[in-house]
Amino acid sequence: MSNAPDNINNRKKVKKSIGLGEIVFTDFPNSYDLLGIGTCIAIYLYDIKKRNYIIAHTILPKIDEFPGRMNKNMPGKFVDLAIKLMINALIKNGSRNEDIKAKLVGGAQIFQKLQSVGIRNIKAAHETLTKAEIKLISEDVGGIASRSIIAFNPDGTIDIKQKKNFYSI
Amino acid sequence: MDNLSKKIKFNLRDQKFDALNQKKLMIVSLNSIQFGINIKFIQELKDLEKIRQLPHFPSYFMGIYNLRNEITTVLDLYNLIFHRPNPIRLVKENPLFKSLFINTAEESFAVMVNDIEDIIPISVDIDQKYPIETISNRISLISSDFPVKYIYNIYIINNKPIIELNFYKLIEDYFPIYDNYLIKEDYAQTPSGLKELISNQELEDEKTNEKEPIQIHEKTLPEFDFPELTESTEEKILSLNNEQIDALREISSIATRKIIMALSRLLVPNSKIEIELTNIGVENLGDFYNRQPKKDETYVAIRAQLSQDFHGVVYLLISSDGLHSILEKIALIEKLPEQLSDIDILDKDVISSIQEIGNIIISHYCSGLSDFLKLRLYHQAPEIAIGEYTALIDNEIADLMMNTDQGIITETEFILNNKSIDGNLLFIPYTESIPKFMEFLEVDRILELLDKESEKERNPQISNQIKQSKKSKKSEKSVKETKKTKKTSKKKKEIPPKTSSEPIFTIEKRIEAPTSDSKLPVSFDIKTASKSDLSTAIMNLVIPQNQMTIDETILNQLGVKIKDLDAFRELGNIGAGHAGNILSDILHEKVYLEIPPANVMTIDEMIENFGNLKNKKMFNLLLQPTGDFESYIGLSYTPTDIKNLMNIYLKNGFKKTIRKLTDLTIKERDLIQNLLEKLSIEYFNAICNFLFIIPTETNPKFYFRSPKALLNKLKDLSNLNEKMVVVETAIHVESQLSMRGQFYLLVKHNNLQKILKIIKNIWE
Repeated sequence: MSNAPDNINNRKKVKKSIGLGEIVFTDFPNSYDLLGIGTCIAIYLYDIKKRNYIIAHTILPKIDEFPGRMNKNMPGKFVDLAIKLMINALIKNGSRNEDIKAKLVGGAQIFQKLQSVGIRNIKAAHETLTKAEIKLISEDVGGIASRSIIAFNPDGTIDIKQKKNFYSI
Repeated sequence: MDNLSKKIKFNLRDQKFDALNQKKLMIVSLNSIQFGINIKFIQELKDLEKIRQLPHFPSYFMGIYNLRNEITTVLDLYNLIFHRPNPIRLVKENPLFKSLFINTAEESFAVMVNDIEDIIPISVDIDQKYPIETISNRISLISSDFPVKYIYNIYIINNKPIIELNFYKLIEDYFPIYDNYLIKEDYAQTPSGLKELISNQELEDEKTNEKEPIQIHEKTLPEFDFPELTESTEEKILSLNNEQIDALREISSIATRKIIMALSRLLVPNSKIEIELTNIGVENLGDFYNRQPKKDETYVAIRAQLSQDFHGVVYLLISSDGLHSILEKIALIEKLPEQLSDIDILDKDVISSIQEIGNIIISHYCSGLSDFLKLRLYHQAPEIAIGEYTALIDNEIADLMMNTDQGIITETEFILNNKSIDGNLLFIPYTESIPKFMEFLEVDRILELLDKESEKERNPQISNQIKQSKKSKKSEKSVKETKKTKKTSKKKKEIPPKTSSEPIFTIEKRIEAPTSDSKLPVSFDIKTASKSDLSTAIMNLVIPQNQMTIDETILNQLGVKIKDLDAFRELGNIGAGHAGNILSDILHEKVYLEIPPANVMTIDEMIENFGNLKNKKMFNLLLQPTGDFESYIGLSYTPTDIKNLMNIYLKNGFKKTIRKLTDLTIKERDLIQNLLEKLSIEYFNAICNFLFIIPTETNPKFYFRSPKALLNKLKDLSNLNEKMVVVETAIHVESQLSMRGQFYLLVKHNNLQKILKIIKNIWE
C-alpha cells in the first residue's frame, strides 16, 4: 500500500512520448512530445475551429510499395495510410476538409552511407496531402541533423529543437 | 473501457463551455492565492463537517465524507496543485476550510479550499479564445508560483489577472488512481484490499489495451477501416529456441571478450573494463524502438555494415557523458566540448579518436564473430553520426521494417571501472540473412567449435550449459534435421567451395566456408569473379588465423611476443579504416575491410603467399617513410580490379582492358597513381596520428610490376633477408565486381622494438 504515493508521482510527471507508428487524437496536444526524429516523419493535422488535434509518428512512405506489410498495431506505419486515417478521424469528429491544416517534421538523413527513407517519406507525405486537398502550412524536413519536437501547441505551432537551436514552425 | 468513456464525457463537457463563449468563474482562495474554477464543475458548496481521515493515504487525500449517505472523497486542492501540504493545517472543523463538491460526469468528489471570494461572469473574447497565446502574454502578471500546466487561461478583470484552473489537467494527473480506490465504499473498511484492486485494475487495463489496436487518448477515434488492405497473416514469426539463444549468447560473449582485450590495452592501466550482455533474442522492432531512452540527450553513434557470409549491422552508441569517461582514459579530454551537438564543431583529433575507438570495437567484434564461426565477415568502414538515440537508429528500423516487424537483437553494455557507460553495442542481422544466421547457430556446429576452442583456453561453464540443454532437447529434435546438418558438416570438410574452375590456390590456405558458396548472399557475383582468376586468387590470399602457425623461437629471436603482433594488426586496422573512408567518400560506395592477423615472415615467404599472382603484373604503390616510423607500406591492385574501380570512379567511363601500362593514357595513369597515393598516404598518416608521430617524407613510388619482381627488388635494395613483421589488410568495394586492394605494412627487424615502445607508451 505504501506504493500508492510513488505510483501517483510516476504518473503525473513529464509529457507522453508518441511511439513508433502511433496515431494520437487529442484535445491537449501539448501533453505530447516526440524526441529524437531521424528519418521518421511526425505529421500534425489540426483544426483550430473544432479544437481537433491529431499526430502521427510515421516510418515508411507508401503502403503499396510494401505489400502485406500492414500491421494493425501500428496504424501510423505508412505515411500515406496514416494521413488518410487521420483525415478520416478528423472528419468524423466534425471537421471540414478545408479547415484541416497540416505540418510536417522529420525526414533527415543521419548516416550518409545508409539509403535514407526520409526523402521518400517526405515525397509520399506531399503527394498524399495534395491529393486529399489539405493545406500544408509549414514543414521542417530533410537535412542531415536530427530533430526533437518539444511541444505540439494547440494553436497549431510546433516547438522544435535541432542541435542547440530552439524554434517553432 | 468504462474508465475511458468517463474521460471522454468529461472532456467533451469541458469543450462545450468554450463553445458558448460565456462562463462563470468561482473565485476561490487557497492560502491567499486566488484563482477561478469554472462553475459548471461545481455541484455544491458546504462548510467543513466531519471528515473521516484514513491512515497511509497520500498527503493530498484528506479523508472521506458522508454526503447524503454517499461516500465522497475529500481532496486537498492546495496539495494537488502545488504538490506540497497546505500551510494552513487541517484541524477538526477548521473554519478556514470550505469544501467544494465537484461533479465530473459520473463521479463526484470534494476539494478543500480556504475561502470563496466571488462568482464572476466571463465573456470570452475572440482574442482570448486560444488560451496558449493569452497565457504566454500574461504569465508575467502572476505573482504566485501557480504551476503553468494547470492554468487554462488568464483573464484581466478590473486590472487584476485572474487564473482559470485547468481542472481537466489536474484530474487527469490524479484520475487513474482516484478512480480506482478513493471512491469505493469498501475501502473505508478494508484498505488492505487496495493492492488487489489496483492490480486487478491494471490487469483490466492491459486487457483493454490488447483489445484496442489503435492507441486512443482522451477522444474516441472512429473505427479505422482498412479498405482493400489485407494484413499479412502468414508472416513468419521469428522464434529462437533456448539452445539457439544460448549459442547466440556464447558467440557474443566470445566476440565481446575480444573487444575487452583490445580496449584494455588502449586505456590507462588500472582502469577496468567489463562488458555485459544485456539483451538478446527476438524482439518486435516497434517495441525495441519505443523502449529506447527518449531523453533529449545527445549520443554518438558509430555504424558499420557487415557483409559476405551473412549481412547485418553493428552499432556502437555512446552518450556524451560515456564518451567523456572513455576519452578521459586516453587523455584527450581537453579537446572534447562539454556538450556534443554537432559533428562539425568537434575537433579533428577528437573525431579521429572516436573513429578509432569505434573501429577497434567494431572490427574486434566482427573478427570475434568470424574467427569463431569460421565464416568470412567483412565490415564496412564505420561512419559517425551525432544525435538523439532514437534518431540514430530509426533509419535502420525503417529499413528492417520493410521486410519484417521482428528482428534478432543483441545489446551489449560497457562498464568502465564499475561505472556503467550510458550506451550500447547493438548487433542486428539483416532479415534476409536470418535463415543463414540460424544455420550458423546450429547447436551441433557451435558445440564442435566450442570443443576445439576449449582445448586452448575456455570457460567451460557456458559450453556445458549448452551441452546440457542440448541433451535435454535432443530427443525433441527431429532426426532428419540432425542428419542433414551432419551431412552438410561433412561436406564442408570434404569439398572446398567452388569459386573458380581452376584451383589456383591451395586448399590449406582457404578459410573453410560453412556451406557451398552458391547459396551465400555474397556481395559480388561469384561467376563474374571466377572469370578473373586474378582477383579471386588475391581474394583468398589472406591467411586465416587458425591456419597460422608462428614459430615461437622466431618470435623470441625478434624479441616480440604474440601479443605484440596484435598491436601491429591494430595499426593495419587503423590505417585501412581511414583509407577505406577516403575511398568510400570518393566512390560513394560502401567499403569493407578484411583484417587478418599480423604475421612474421621473410620477403621470400611473402612472395610465395601471393600464389599464382606472384608473376602477374599489378599496380603497386610503395611508400618508404623514414624517420620515427621507418617501414615499407605497399598497396597493390590487379589490373582487373583497377579497371572495375576506375569504371565506378569515372562513372562508366572506363572500359579498357589493361595488359600493359601503355594501354593507358598518361592522364589515366596519373589518375590511378593519384588515387593509390592518396589511399596509401592516408593509411600512413592515420598510423602516424595514432602513434603521435609527425608524418615524414614518404617517397611514394608507383610501379606496374609483379609482386615477385617488386619485392625482390626491395629485398636487394634494402638487404631485407631476415624475418619481418608483415601486416596485410584488404579493402573491398561493395559491388558485383571485384575491387580488392591489398595493403601491406612491413616493419623491419631493427625498427620493431622502437615502434613497439611507442605503442606501449601510448597505451600506458
